[in-house]
Amino acid sequence: MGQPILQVKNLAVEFVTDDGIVRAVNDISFDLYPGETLGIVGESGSGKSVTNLTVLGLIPQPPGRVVSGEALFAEQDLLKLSHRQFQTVRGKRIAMIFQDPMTALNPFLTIQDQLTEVSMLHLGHTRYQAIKHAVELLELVGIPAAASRITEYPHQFSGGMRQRVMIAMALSCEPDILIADEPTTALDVTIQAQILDLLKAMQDERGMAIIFITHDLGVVASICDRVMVMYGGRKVEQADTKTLFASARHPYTLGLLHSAPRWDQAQQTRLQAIQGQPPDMMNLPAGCAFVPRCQWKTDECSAAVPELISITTETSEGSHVFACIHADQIHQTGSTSSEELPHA
Amino acid sequence: MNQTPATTTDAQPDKLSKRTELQRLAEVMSEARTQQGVSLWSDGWKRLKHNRVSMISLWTLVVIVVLAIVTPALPLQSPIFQNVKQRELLPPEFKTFKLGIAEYDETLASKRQELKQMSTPDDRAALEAEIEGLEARHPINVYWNDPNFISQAMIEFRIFVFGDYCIPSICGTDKLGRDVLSRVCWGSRVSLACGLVATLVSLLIGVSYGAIAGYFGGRIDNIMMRIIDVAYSIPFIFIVIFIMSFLSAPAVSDTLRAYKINQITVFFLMIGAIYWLTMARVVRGQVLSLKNEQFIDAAKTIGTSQWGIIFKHLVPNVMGIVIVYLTLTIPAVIRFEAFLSFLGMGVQAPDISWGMLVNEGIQVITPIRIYWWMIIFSGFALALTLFSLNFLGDGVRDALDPKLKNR
Amino acid sequence: MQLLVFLLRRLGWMLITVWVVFTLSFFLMRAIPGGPLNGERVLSESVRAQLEQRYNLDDPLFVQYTTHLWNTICFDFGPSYKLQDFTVNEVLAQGFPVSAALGILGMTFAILLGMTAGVVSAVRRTSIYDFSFMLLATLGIAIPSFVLASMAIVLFVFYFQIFPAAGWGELKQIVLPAMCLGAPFAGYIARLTRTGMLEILSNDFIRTAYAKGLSTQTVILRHALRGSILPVVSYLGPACAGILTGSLVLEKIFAIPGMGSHFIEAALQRDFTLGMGALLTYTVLLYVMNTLVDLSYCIIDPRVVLE
Repeated sequence: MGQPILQVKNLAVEFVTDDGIVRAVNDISFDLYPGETLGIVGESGSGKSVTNLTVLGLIPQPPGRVVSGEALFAEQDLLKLSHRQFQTVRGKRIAMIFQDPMTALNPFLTIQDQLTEVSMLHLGHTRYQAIKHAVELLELVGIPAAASRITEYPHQFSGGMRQRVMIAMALSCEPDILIADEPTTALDVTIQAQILDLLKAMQDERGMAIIFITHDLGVVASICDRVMVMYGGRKVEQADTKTLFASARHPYTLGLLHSAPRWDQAQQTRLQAIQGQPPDMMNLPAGCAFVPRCQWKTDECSAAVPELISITTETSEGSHVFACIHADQIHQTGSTSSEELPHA
Repeated sequence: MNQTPATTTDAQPDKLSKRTELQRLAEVMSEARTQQGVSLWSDGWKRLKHNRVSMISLWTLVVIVVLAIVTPALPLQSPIFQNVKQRELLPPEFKTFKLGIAEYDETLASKRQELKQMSTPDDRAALEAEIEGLEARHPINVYWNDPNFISQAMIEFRIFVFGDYCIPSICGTDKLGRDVLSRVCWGSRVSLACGLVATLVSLLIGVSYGAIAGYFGGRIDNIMMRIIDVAYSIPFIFIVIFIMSFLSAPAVSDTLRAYKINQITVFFLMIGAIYWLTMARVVRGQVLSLKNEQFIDAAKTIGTSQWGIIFKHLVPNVMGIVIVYLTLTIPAVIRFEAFLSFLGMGVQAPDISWGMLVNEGIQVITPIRIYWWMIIFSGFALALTLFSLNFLGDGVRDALDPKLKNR
Repeated sequence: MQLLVFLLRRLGWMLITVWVVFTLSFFLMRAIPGGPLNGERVLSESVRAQLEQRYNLDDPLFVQYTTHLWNTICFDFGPSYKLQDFTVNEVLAQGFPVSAALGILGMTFAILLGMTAGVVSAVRRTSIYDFSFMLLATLGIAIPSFVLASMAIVLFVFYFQIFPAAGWGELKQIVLPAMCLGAPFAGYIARLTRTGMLEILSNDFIRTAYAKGLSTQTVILRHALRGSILPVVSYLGPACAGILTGSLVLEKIFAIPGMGSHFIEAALQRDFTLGMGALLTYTVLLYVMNTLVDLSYCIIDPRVVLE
């Protein structure tokens, strides 16, 4: 595994709104190793996007506020960088692609303008070199007739094409890390598969690390090496992909896994949704945030936020951490409600 | 609805079959109920209250409007009585001023007393004629320009309470010896009334036109919008100016009076007729886009009638943007009225408006002597009103804009 | 090709519009009692003779209409009612360049000042710059141009004696009227630019631009400015109309011999031929300017299609 290229430690971010303070991210820590794909899974509002936007300094500082934490990359703490210093990191060493390619591209500029400005800025290309480079990139990501289409505008491309353009833009300067924020959510399933294959191929070719944010476990299964599950702004489970799918421990992860329809289930099976509502980020409960929706909750769970427990896995792919005090018992007894847990 | 729990062949038994479907739904409902929604208006009002500048503007406007309404009851000098010899172009002063009504009434009363004691018919006739003349020239008829029924009552109230006392000419007098302060106050009534009435006219015409065009769509919409397109290209302002030049002709004003139409009313209506175009376009655009929203489909699927859709769903959603345009139209109308009056084509003497006052101020500018009070007070009143309207309008727009929530 | 079709269609609608205005004024002139041709007014002998000859007042209405329409199409607006020895064409020809100069100068001032103030305010939101620029902008919008001009004269002509009071001919004489004319529009443009800029800056593609490592200056000038100009361009249409109407009062206040003051005088003096000629000229002017604005909108926003 080697040394991590990105280390996020105890990150906490809050937003000051008219209705109160929203604690979007609470004490998140994770490492990213070169060449791996880390998946970050969670529902809307779990803090997964905010975490990554903060790492790149893209959170508007009012109303946002980084309360604590550090993000170590190339021996710098990214959270302490000034705007000007960030310019040497963004686009060049850490690149980001976003969820909705229609709104993420500037409708008033041609694709050429938007692609060339990256390499002209970071790699010192001349205009001619930049255009050549851009056309190569477009061909690489699979845009047909790249040389002639490059002078078109974003609205003249389809959704899948636009996302490919975004990927080309991100890869332009061969970054060390690519952060992909739900890049396939706005696309239909067939295009989704193509984009995922493309990302995988790019990673194999260039050896960059990818942080892949998603809420879709199917996507996680296909391309992520390790997965981190977030809930209520905290990390609730993290493991390598195989381990997570085979033996998840945290009730939330279990709920996610069980709620996905499986092709080997009988047709009349009722789908198991996780009961309840996502947490109100302005009024997080004192203890575990999942308590209102958990089948195994006891009074102890509401007392304090559960610590992350770490165990080594059967495979040799690193540790498996989770934040639930009842996890072992749930796992061993295979029970599905708190009445059946042996109480302390 | 089938209530039996599903039977499964899963390894894990379906625990949810323990509770019935009904209980589960009831739980979901009670959860939903505890989350309190916020209506657009209450949220908007709350946000507006936080906006200090807007609240100050709101209160300023309230004060201005109240002052305008109660002007007849205030102890002001006459706005129209000319006194060139003694009071021409006085700078602001604090000397006391008396209306002279009490004196006049005394004279009248004493004459009436005399009448009672008169015996000869000839003398009686002469004295009666004299009394009639006095009554006709009574200050109440001379000092104020044909006040309507409510204003008359307020004036009489004022005389009852304040008697002869008048606020001195703290704003100076104009070139015909008339008190500027009272002219500014009386002028406010016309300027503000114009703003309100003309805006209301444009609102009524514009919203109906736009809603009809937008709701029915298709050919009707096409034709109606073509008409508006052509109308938009017509420089109505210039046409109005062109028309106003007729209206001041004596033959025309006689005709109007014959039909009992106030010239000011025609004026207001014409201004309103200019500004409805934008409102119609905006409302139509909004209705068109709302028609295709999913909530309209949802309303239709639960069986809402056509009128229900228009009044319960479309109109309230249009109100937001209508209010936004109102806040733009009212100051525009007041300004246009001032503009016309400034040019001499708007309100005619003896009616007063702020625009007319500024015009009078400009006319007396000479390099030798600067009669600053003639421009400053009327200009300030006009500017302050427009300023407050603008700030309040900004505030209302920001308060109703969902994108600006939480800044 | 698409452009040609667009222009031709616009031309067609312009002719319709002008025709509507013409017909409206024609009938107003004749229908309203006390109007020009059936009022008991005193016209000088020569004018009366000319009028009777020109307008064939004895002919049936329809014939009058068509003759008058034909004359107008041939740009022959007839003699002025009040200004003896002048035809309407002569008066308009003399006044038009003056008003044009004033208008263009005023508009240029408004755009330059307004956009600069707007961009600075948006980028430095809630700073002292933002606050003072927006305050000045609101002042400019709220205070009517004639009030502003009056106060400006009191200040700059009498107290400070920088500018001359009235007249036309030297550069000095243009400055104050042009500034007073442009001030409300500068204010409006400043606010529009600011709002447009703020709105654009809240878009996702701005975030993408920053994520690419571009500097603030590049993001603002290259990515944001183009979109934020759009509301200003849309506004230019009504702004032109406003400049035209604004010039009416300003020419009166500063005694500038432009088309505007002639139009006002015509309206006040009931010089209907002159009034109608000026009215038709304004109609055409406005229409042309609106068309130009629509064209430029298409150039700036690539998503918009000429219709």
